[in-house]
Amino acid sequence: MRDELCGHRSGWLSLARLTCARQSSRNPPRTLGYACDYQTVCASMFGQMRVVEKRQLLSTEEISRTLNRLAHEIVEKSGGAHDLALIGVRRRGVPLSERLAGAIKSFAHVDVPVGTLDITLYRDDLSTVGPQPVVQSTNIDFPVDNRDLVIVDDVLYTGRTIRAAMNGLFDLGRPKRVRLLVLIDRGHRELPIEATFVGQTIQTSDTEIVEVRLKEIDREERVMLVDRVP
Amino acid sequence: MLERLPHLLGIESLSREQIEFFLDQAKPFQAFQRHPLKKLATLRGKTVAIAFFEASTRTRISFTTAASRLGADTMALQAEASSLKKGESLMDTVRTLEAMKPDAIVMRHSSSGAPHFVAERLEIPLLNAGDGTHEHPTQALLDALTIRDRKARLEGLRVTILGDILHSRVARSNIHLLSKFGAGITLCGPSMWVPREVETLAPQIRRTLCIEEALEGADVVMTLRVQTERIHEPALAPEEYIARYQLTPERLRRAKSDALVMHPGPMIRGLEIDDAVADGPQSCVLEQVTNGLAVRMALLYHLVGGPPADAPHPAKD
Repeated sequence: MRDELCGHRSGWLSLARLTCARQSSRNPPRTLGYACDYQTVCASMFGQMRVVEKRQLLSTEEISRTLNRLAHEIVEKSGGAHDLALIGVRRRGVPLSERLAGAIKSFAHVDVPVGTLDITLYRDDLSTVGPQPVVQSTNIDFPVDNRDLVIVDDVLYTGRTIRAAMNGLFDLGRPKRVRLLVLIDRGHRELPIEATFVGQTIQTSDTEIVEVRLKEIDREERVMLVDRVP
Repeated sequence: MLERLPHLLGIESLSREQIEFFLDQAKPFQAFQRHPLKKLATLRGKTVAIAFFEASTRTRISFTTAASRLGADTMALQAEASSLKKGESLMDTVRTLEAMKPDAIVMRHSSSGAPHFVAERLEIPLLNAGDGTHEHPTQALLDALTIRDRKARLEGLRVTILGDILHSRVARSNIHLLSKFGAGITLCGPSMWVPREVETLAPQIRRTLCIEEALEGADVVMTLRVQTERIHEPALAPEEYIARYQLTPERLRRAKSDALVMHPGPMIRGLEIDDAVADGPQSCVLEQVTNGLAVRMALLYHLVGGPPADAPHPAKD
């Protein structure tokens, strides 16, 4: 979810640069409750916030094994996978959902459709920070009605991203069921949201950040726990 | 450096990067128009004043729909502009708008520069929906989006604009935008409506009074409406305009076989454009309308969304 705010061309990068320029380095970034919030992104991009890596949570191989295990779990707990569809939340939920669909195809020989969902327009914090984050497209080219959906994202934190994702999905139709799959559950829920399928659950503090790097986006593959240095 | 845009007053002052940003941002909103439920809560709680001081149907409805689909409320202000008391009524306009405290204003006015005058005096974002003969920035953006979708680029395309260039804010905004992207522009129409001075609007503009020459090898043909309300005596009688400048299928054949036919609307069928061309396979007029919604939603999202101008910056605790 992190890079959708800073990866889009020069526009958002420049906008972010201006936002950060105004930010006082003595004030700690205000956590807005998203796994990826503006202040974190801006500050980390431009080095006003120093981070130190605390430990690696998942290596390349561990990510692969975890996804494989999760793919098996999905099939097990979906009674045949007939109406199943995966919805990848932009940005990093997208490659995760594609890999899961690939894994399911290879061992269960079922074609599970994959859609991508951009939650920007459904965020609950747009009126509290500016400038507006860049909107990316939502591509769900199958009907949502009566589908057994699994939302796929990299990190589950406060649950606000998933609340927004559900709003987006319900604008498209009435799914039969919606469940959640995440690679990392880091606790600190602010809404009654839970994941059915979890790669790894870890305890984190408010200042820590779970950094997920996937080869489709970051050209490397690992999950790390980093901490902000005051 | 791209900055948060406080207003959208014209294309001339925008950089190529800013224009590309908004064209790219319109794409998710294009997809949105195909959703079964076309209602977001993104701009909920915001009010957009739709202040049209000149007649319009499609642009007004387009902006109103764009704001509503984003979840904003709209205030419809429609007033006839008094040509006798221009200065006075504009200040009254400013005061009236200010008193209603909207979060943004979309304004169309028959005087060039009127939105700039208002924008200088109000704190809230202002979007120009057409000012006099000066600019119509959202039209140029939706035209560019339409062209880019069909042709994959704007650079190096040969674009012909036909009709009353002199009085056309659509033509001006398009000329500014297309020249920023390196498209080749040909302007054509009767001599009174396409004076030599139009060549100074941007570098490398070709001017011709002969429609056949103008259409030769064109990738895009933009036809402008004959604006009888703007001029007291038509430069040509309608029959003569039709004979010399109507876009007919025969004339269109001089352009490339996959050339786009565009019109900002409303079309006067049988005058500047022949029915067969207007309804033909090369016509993009309906696409333009849909793209207009997407472009306006993207603009309203970026300019009207977010905290109010006087909100405390979250970093300042």
